[in-house]
Amino acid sequence: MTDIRITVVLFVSQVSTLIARPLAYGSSLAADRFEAVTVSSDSAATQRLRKDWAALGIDVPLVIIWSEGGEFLRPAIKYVRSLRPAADHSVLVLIPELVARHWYETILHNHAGALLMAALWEIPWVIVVSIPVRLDAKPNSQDSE
Amino acid sequence: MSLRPHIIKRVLLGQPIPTSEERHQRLSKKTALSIFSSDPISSSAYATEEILVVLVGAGVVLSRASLYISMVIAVLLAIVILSYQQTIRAYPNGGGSYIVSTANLGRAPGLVAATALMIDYVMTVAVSVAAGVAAVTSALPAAYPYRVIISVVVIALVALVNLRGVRESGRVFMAPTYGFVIMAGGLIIVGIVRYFTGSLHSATAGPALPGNGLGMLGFFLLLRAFTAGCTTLTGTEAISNGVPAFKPPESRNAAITLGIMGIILGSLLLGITYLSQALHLVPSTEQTILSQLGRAVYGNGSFLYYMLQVATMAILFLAGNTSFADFPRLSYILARDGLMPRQFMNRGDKLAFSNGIIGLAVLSITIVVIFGANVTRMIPLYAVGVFVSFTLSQAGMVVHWYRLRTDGWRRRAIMNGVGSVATAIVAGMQMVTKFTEGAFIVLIAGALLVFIFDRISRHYQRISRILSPERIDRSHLSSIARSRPRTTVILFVSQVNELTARAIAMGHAIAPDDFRAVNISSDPDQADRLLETWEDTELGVPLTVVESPFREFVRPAVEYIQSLEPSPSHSVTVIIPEFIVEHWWEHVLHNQNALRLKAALLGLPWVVVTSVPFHIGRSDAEAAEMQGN
Repeated sequence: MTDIRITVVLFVSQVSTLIARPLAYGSSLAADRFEAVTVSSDSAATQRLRKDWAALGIDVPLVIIWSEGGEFLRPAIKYVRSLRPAADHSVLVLIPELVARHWYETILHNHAGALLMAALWEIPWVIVVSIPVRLDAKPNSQDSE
Repeated sequence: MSLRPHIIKRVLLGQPIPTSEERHQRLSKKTALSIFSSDPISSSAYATEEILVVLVGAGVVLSRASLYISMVIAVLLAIVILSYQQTIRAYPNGGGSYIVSTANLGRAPGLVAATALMIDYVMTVAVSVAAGVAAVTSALPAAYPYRVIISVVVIALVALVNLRGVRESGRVFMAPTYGFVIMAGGLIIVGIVRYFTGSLHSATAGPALPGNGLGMLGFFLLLRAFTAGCTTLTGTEAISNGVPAFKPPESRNAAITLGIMGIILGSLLLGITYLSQALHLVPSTEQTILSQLGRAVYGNGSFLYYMLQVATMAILFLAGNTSFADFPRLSYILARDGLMPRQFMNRGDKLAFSNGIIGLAVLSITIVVIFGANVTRMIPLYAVGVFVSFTLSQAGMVVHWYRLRTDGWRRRAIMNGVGSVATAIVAGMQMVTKFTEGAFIVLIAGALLVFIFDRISRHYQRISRILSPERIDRSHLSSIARSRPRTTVILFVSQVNELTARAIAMGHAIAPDDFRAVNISSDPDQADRLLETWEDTELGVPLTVVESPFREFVRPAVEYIQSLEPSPSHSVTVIIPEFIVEHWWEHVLHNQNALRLKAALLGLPWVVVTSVPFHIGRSDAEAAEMQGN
């Protein structure tokens, strides 16, 4: 069995309960590298993200990609494609999916993730990992021991 | 996923435009005039008709009444234009009634303004296209029975052109606005000349003119006719919405364009109405008033007549096109503010707001089909929304000047105030006089939209409160992020082949300590054979066989996963191979079990689904057909 090198990527836009579990999960994988990536067009928001990220105190690096016109998909895909230095590398992209409690929530959320997933399918060496996140009134309840 | 949809998209839309090109897509005054003022100017093609429909419908043709009514309308137009020029200067980023109302009057009026605008835009497309098709059927009566189909096709084509990007549609459509202004303007001038030189006769010997004793009935009739004619003003807010599309200095150029547009529109309205009443024209279903005028002045079946009809059709279609610039822009703003689903913020490949364009096309086609492409029947829904948004916008401006209190603010506030009151009165009249004819639909639709926007807004606000960085317990968050839950990786298999080997390699790489292959089996002999092959192949990974006596796949699979007791400290990752096939329908064929398993697993806490793509050709697809249980 050949050894596959793995890079794990999580796209983030702000520090929130949405990313806590994907971060935990990504760290638990026996990957060669795990990083968080943000596609940014607003420098103020990015500064805030940098600060919040440092405050988290985790050793997952935050990569910042600048995007002029506020686009997300194309710069994101471009970055993912750049991650493959050799043939035996694979990239895992973690995509948090909000578990919809009501039918209308499926329309209102997750479409960015769905678009990203659809675009990534075209790339043979990219694996998409969908992580369900439940949002309750008490944000920390789903993670209580 | 197959490549086909992308190829189709590329063929229809051409090459994508990088965002840096956006500035070059701005419009000069000449181009902007042709796009943004096409809607208001085109209203002159059917406004006179609507006035006459009311007057004639009551059984009398009031000789001078239509002319006086149109003069009052022209005054109202002037007021609204002067008022909006102030708005343009105060809000160079555009956005129109919604932005002005929300910023100055508050959230609730903003919601109402947004609703009114959306209804306005949808109706603009429906009415303009239907009226344009009416111009065609007036020239070619044989086409009259097909007017609905033609309208639908036209709307679809306009939507497609817009998906290709603003600049191209600007160039394509510059001729129609100027063409119409010239032809209609020429019509009026030639008509007046011929009338006064006596070479123009009444098209019909009109009914006898009534005396002065009309009383109250006559007054309400005039009011209704005036209300109907106010449809002239539809579209005047278009320029104030589209200020960002102008070349710099955006505000000044937009204000100038608005003024020019107003003069043209007022003149056309007065001219057409004057000639129509001078010739005692009567509205009919098969010939629009403008067409009748054209036949009378330019000559029945003459080249100039056909040119007029073509120009009329073209500017009306272009007017519909205006909405395709404004509706998506508005939905983007609303989505940004959290009133609409975020999908409407997406810019497609051509820097166009694709979801807004498609949404508008679908809605307007629905309206056209329901009302049978009949302009007069759609007017009741049209003007109410327009005048409500006028009222809110100008009221917002009054508050704006009051807050700022810069030099001359009183003058400006009075200007906007007068405009607001005037349009509020007209809006009320629209609702009352046309209530049973369709205005009630606007009331219902409007209330529904306001309700929906409000709920969506509350939902997004709630979610962002939950997700907001200030609210979360930072140490808790970081301890979760730092916890490394144990992971068990599972792969469901049914055969040993190259795909199995690849999936195993993947699973092993991410969790070398706890990786299992599982076979859900309903045939014990098959299971035994699989176990033998498995051991012979020395894959180095244990194979677990789960019995499924009833030939099910998903339920036993889910039960097995749950038996592993997924928890916050122990996550279960399920690898699901997805076959990327050449044809879209093959995706459904091969990935049945995968899709159903994914759906079943989505709700389970602490279970993570990993989709591993396998790109295979056709022969592999046939071999892999055996893969599914």
